[in-house]
Amino acid sequence: MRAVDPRPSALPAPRRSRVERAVPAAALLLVVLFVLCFSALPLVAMVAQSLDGGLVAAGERYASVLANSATEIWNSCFSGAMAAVLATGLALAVSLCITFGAPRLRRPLQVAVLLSMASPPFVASLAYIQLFGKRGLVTHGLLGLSVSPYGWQGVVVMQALFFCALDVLLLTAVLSRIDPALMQAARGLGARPGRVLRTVVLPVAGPAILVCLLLTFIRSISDYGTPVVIGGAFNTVATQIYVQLVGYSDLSAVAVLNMVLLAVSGLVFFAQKRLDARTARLVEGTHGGRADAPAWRMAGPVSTALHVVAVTFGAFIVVLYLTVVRSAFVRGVGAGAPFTLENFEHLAAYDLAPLGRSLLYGILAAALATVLGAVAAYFTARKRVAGSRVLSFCLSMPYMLPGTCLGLGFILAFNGAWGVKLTGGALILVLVLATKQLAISADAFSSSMAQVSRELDMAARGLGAGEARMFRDVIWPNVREAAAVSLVNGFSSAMMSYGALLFLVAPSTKTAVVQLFDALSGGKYGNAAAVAVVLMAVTLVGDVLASRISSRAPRPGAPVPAGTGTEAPSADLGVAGPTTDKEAR
Amino acid sequence: MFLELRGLTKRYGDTCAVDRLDLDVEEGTICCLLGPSGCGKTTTLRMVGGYLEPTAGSVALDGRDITGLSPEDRPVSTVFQSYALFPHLTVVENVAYGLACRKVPAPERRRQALEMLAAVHLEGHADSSIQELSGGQQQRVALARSLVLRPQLLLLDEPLSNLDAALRLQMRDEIRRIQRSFGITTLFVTHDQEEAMAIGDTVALMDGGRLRQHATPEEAYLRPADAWCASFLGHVNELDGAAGPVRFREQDAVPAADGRRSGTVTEATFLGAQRLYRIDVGGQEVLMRCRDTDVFPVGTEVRFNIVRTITW
Repeated sequence: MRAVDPRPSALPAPRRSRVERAVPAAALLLVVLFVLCFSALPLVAMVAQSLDGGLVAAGERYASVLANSATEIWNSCFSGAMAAVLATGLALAVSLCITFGAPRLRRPLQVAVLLSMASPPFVASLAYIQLFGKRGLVTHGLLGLSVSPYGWQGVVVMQALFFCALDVLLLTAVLSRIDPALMQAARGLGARPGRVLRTVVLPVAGPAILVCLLLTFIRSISDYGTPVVIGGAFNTVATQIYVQLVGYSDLSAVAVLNMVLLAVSGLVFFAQKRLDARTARLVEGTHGGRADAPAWRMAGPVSTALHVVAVTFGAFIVVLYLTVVRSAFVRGVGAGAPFTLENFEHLAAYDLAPLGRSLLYGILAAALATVLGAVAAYFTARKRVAGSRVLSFCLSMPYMLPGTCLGLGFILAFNGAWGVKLTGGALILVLVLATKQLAISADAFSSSMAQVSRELDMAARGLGAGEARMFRDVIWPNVREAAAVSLVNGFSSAMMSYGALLFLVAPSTKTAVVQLFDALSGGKYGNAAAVAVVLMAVTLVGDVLASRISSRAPRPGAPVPAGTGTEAPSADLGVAGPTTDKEAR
Repeated sequence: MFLELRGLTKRYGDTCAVDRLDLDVEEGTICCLLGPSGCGKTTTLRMVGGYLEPTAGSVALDGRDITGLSPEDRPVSTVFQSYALFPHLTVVENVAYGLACRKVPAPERRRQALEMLAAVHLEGHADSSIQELSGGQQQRVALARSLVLRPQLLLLDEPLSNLDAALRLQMRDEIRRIQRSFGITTLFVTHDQEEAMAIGDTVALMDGGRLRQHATPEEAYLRPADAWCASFLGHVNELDGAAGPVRFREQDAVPAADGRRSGTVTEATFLGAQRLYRIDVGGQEVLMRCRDTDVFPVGTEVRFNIVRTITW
């Protein structure tokens, strides 16, 4: 066998063209510009509007608006707090059952949770009217009552049922990361199941529970859809904003109200960061060594009670959705309503265009958000360039803003006052959808990239690859799944999106969700249900696709984490946490 | 015997993780369950601890059958490999946890917990959070938490595997000291044979779910039950002899100018306090471990005597 020539061969040094070298900087510039224009500018515009006319006038305006809205502010806080407590309580029961409960119930509960996220929140309101309205199936059909369903009670219950799902995702993610050895050790020390739950599981999950309460509160006070449809005379800050924005009246006053929402959102955002850090310390700090302690299961009377609550929740969700589906196939309201296909005929005649637009805007927005999200995540999370934290913050801001804030901001920034007029067109819709989705996309890519060992980057660079090539060859293949999930979830989020969109659509650019909302508030429940059914079908297909993609085998290049083996039942809940937050505000 | 495992078996479908295990442990002693990964030692520990239900067999402690008892009700305490300290409680609250489960009033709990912390030399850290402690300190807290309940049996699941070499030696002595001062019967699972022999009063060698040998470390080392046991505890040299194969350990080949055996050195490794040689004896390989002062260059001939043999 001939020996290999040990002398170094004369290979030319690796070369990169001018264009190739410019790509990384250009990409970063693109993301920064996008964020500045569509995340930062609208917010600035809104703040400026609220301060319109100088500080003195602004001061007077703030004082008078706040004074006039005292009732609404109180109503928002009240219903928000109640919805938060109810939603978090339900979510706790459901997530405890999913993580530590009867294995046979896990899948059905996960499906119920997924189902409850597969539509805009006010679809639940539709079901509510059908079930509990004047001629509701339950109130009139079963109980013979004829009561008005409108009021704060319905709002609180429906909001709680809808927002519960998002809390379940968060809580299951945290609960499943707790080392089972903690609970097993507690048992070995003599703790009965109830005590283990009370003294070990709940305290460790404590900060996460607090986060759920805060986030649900925010979502509730930002939600105008539910109170508009079934609130009746119950006015909140959100409904106030809605009425005034739609009527295009005093934009400055609306801006002030939005500032109130914004301030509360901002406070919650910072509180959440602190609480998330605390959760990470509590949960991650419990690991070490072989993570193969036997999985812990709840038992005893407390466990039974939790299961009853969780199953009731699941059953309720199924009933809600069946009601919606039924509404699509009957004329009118009530138990005696006759079967008909006219709702779908109406849809075919009038609503196909909006549906088509929803699809188109959704795909475009998802694609835009995915590409920008990947680039943003690369620079902020992986390379950590200067200003990463600021960029990251600006990027995620639209996500935590109430829809009305973003909507107003976009109107003010792009109605021509600042030089560019995009309002009334389709582009602005795609942009606002993409802006909202960008935060989720960047988040998903960050987590996905974190799983790719940094040593791979260094190895590629050491072998002569430029940055652009390294991204394409090393990072991109390993985050393809995150990209796919981001696309699909971005699409379904966009399909459901109404918060900011409602104020930016023109008659020629109406999307399906806006159509649905109009039909609902106009009392055309059949039409609304038909549109809802189609939307839900499309979204469910998307969600199933996303879960199929994200549950495939690990990618090459991802380092095998040492000591894994802890059961993580929520890993296949189907949709990972932040990537599928259906727009709720 | 204080701890009696009789016919303990665990089957998963067609696989048998633990196969009819019979083991007796004397009161107040440490028995090390030793074996390669997958030999069933951790499964056995889980069954004794009550976390796994045996397919067959029984566990008896101090004459009482505890096979059907759940972990909460057994007078047995397990220390998991990750220590499983409660991150939201302070050190003293962790140690007092089991006492709280037994409804001991708060002042008395704290007193007993502090007493136990003093026994493991951690009384100064009583009100610290566990994240502030080092690995070795965390392990002592985990031990204290179990011992404060005066269990009849202590189960340790590879407690030293996570630690670096120096800390491992230190904690090894620490664990033995604590165990001796409390006189608590202990089952200690490990895959490291040196550790098992250093810590254990007895060593239980397991392979493929079966118990191969249960004896004192010296017994097991010098009079192994079979070839597998012999080679698990250390390398076994084998040379042909007049009356059959002659088996001996690395250190039983002692170089001597008038040695009756001889061979050529093929590899020499300096280990600090010792040297290890690979010697070719008429086609058979012998590993010889001697003092660092016995230097034999590669290629030279060395004469040696076999001073002790092992048989089974």
